[in-house]
Amino acid sequence: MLDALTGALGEVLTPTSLLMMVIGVVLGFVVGILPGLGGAVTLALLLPFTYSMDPIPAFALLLGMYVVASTAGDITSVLFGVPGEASSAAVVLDGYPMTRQGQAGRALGAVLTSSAVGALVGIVVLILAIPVIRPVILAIGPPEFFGLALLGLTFVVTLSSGQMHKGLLACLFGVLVSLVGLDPSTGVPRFTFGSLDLWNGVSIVPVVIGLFGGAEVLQLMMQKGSVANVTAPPDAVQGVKSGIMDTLRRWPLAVRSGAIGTALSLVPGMGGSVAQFIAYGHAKQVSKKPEEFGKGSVEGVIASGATGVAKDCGSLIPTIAFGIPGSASSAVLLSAFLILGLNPGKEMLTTDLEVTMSMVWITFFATVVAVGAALLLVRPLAKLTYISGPLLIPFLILLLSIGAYSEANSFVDIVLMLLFVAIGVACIRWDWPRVPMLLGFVLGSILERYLFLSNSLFGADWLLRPAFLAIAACIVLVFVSYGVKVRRERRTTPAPELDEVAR
Amino acid sequence: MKKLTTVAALVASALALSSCQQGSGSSKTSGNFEGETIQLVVPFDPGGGYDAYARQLAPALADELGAKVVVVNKPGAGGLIALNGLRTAKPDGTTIEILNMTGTIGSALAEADGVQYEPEKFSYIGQIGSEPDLVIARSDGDISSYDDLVSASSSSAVRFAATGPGSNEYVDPLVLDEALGINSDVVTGFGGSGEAALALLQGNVEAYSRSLSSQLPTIQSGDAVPVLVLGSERLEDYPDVPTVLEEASDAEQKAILQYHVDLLESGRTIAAPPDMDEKRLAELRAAFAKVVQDPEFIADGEAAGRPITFLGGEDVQSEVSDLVDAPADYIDILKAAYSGQ
Amino acid sequence: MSANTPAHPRRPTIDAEVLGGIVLAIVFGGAFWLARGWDRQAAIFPLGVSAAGFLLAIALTVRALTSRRMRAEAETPHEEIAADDNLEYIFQTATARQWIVTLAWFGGFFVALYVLGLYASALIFTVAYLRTQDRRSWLFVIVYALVLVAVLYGAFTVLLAKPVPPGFFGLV
Repeated sequence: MLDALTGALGEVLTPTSLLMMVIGVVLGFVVGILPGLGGAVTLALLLPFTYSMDPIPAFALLLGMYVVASTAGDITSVLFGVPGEASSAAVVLDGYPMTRQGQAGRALGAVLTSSAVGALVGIVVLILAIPVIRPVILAIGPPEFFGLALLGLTFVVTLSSGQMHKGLLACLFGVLVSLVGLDPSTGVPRFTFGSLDLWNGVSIVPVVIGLFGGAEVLQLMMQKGSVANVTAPPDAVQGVKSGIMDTLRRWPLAVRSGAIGTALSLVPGMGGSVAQFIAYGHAKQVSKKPEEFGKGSVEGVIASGATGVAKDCGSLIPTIAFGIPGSASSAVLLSAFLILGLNPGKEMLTTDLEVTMSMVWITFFATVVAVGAALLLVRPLAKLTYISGPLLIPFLILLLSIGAYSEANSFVDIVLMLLFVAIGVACIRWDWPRVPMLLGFVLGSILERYLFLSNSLFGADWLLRPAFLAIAACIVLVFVSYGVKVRRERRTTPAPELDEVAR
Repeated sequence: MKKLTTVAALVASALALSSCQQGSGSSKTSGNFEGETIQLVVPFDPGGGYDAYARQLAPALADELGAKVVVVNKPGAGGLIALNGLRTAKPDGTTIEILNMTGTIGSALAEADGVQYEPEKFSYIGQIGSEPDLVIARSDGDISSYDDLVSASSSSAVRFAATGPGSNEYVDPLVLDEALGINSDVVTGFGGSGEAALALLQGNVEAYSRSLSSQLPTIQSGDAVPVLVLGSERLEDYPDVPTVLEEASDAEQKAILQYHVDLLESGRTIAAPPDMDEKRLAELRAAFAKVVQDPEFIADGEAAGRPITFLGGEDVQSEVSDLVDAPADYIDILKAAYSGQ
Repeated sequence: MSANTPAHPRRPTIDAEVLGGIVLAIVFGGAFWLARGWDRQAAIFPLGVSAAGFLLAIALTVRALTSRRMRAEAETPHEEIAADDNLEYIFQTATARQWIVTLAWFGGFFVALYVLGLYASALIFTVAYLRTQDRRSWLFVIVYALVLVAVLYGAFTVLLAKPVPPGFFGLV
């Protein structure tokens, strides 16, 4: 195992591989920053160039690009409130408020560092998991996904920020939106209002761009100031270092969030955009200052940032171990395996271990290079937030429309985005929590799908599967700890707010 | 903003390399498409098989025509949005589409909701790929051959995984049930084919049927075994695995299976809108034929696990007109499959 | 800016809560009504979700209506909402005129996008918006708009060959 690790290092540190990796990193940067241009399309575009390459330089190009795209996606989330990738959506929640407070540098420093920490966690998991990974993956099925989605949903309690009633309603509305489209088991079109365009359901990109980015743009148009709502930019731009320190000081949070990212993407099913919200909810749950979440909490930024690369590492695992891709991007990577004459499966974990290990190293180096380069770019990037608002408006409004349009090349997504702009603005204006809605939206269809799948696969027996029971125990624990917390708070603060405490 | 621009400019050269779908200046033919932009529509998300075929074809076709060929993904409603779009596109060959013939014809025959086109009206440019479906089972499970499948189905229904109603994964077990009496039960609703395949390896379902090339990685990794070919011929690499046609015992069964196999093997085609301008269609067909029969092109496809099978546009056209005339029994199966029973 | 923030009027917030409850009750009720006719397997989950949502929304409305009277008597203002969060602050304090102007520009862009396509509307919007809302010079505005569109065109159409909104007349 160690031999393979060092052998692979030698293979990766050749001039060709390094050159390919740098090209990959640069491409990944652009792809990540441009909204709507996902990693999967770019991988597909790059694939033909690997026909004549050796495996390791080829993976250096592909993986370098793929891994960096999710890191770079966080940058637009922080700077403009428009996520560059669907998996960077949760970074908007606190990253953009920080920018508004003139802390763009700090937020970027924190998110990039935590992305690197998350990558490290993912890599370590990947290495440690190799001997046991196949049985683990084989043990996780629909019942466990159902349990995990339920566990994720418990964060509504925390994410509602003391407005339980409204939070629950928002969450249910999110669930309802997630059900739009053809029903997965009977093919009945649900809530599609006779439009074929809604058959595939509502995708997360227009929802997030609308709920968050759109509202921000409108607000900037009204206010006419710069994005950073501080007149003098003193140490704000230089705050990069303090952002890095923020993450390093809170390393346990970054590590846990990275682990969440990797674990949830280990088995195909949950999808790439769920982990970030679970990590975010978890961070708020354990935070000492949960009231700052959504208003520029660096902890929120760290938690959601750490899942980016970590989830990419996780989704590599089933592709390597079984030849089963968990996402569109890993499907393209799988055909790269075939082009390069590699057979995914047991061999990749035994005789071809060196190739697997080289992928580990590529992920590591690509992240380091990308985060390093991004940290150097942070200062000029953070200065963008001091540009006069009206000048940025055309740029931002284009970012919104291209971001919403690009995924399916459909104008309907722009209309959906506008609908969610309206909902987002209404939520802000009348003080409704937006995050629970998003949580309900990402988890709703998962909840339904795996409930029915569990039932049709196992009858009622799935309720007794050990892994599911373990998750159920976690859910109970969450509620108990929440109850304790509420009780303690009641004791310490003599006059709690009358109206909004959950019952 | 400026920095973004510089970053963008920096990689411009690199990306230009990667998206060189522009026909090079030295085009071989000086036909009608010289300098035009052709949209090659993929009715699915990027990353899948159709996307891969299209992206392999685009630069080669561009070179041959001296045109610019742009791949455009238009996912939605299982491909129906793009299909309906092709029906109303301008019939000048600047919009062409890669079609999943099984789905295109199948949903039309099943009179599924949302179908606005007639498959035989499209102008076919040619077939780029055709492969059988393959039923697989877990390597260390009870089923390792067709006989095992039959005996397993006699005691209780064999469970097949599927992503959703109307997919091949869903139709195949119904056909096997109807024509070969293999008592099967479709577990549907998996979020993607990766999940469905994993459910097979986990032993949560007993069998899984989909296209050969997507099954191969799982077989080659040693985790699954081929059980039955839904195609006209046995596979070169697995000569012991029987085809459905061999297993048919009477003419009636055989008719249904034969039709099903024909439908599956109608494969992936490239089509243009109905009522195409004759000259331009002929030119597209000629260019396509030349590109797809090029040995290098075939080798590249083979390497990527996407076998290239060529069939000319006229042949596809007549094949489709035959296929839309389906046996009544078969249409009933399709209707059941599309309504999720 | 927190100290001299005028306390915003209470009543509208409560009214908004009542209104929000009613709107959501209609949405969830409508969803329930739509889901009734579907196949059982397809309907069961949406029915459950919309029924729960409907009941919660009604409960919210009722609670808001009753607490409205209570609050009128014992008003404990929780001032801090608007203090730090300037987003909320701006949306709550914006005048009707500000709203109309902003929404007109915002909506106008998307109408243009639908009719004229990406490049033309980007050009027109940039020029018009910066000229009228930011009072920039003609030269600046035109150069800025051209650069913006050129970058877009270079990135999406030339390099990536990726489609952009074409507009009603397919201008792109």
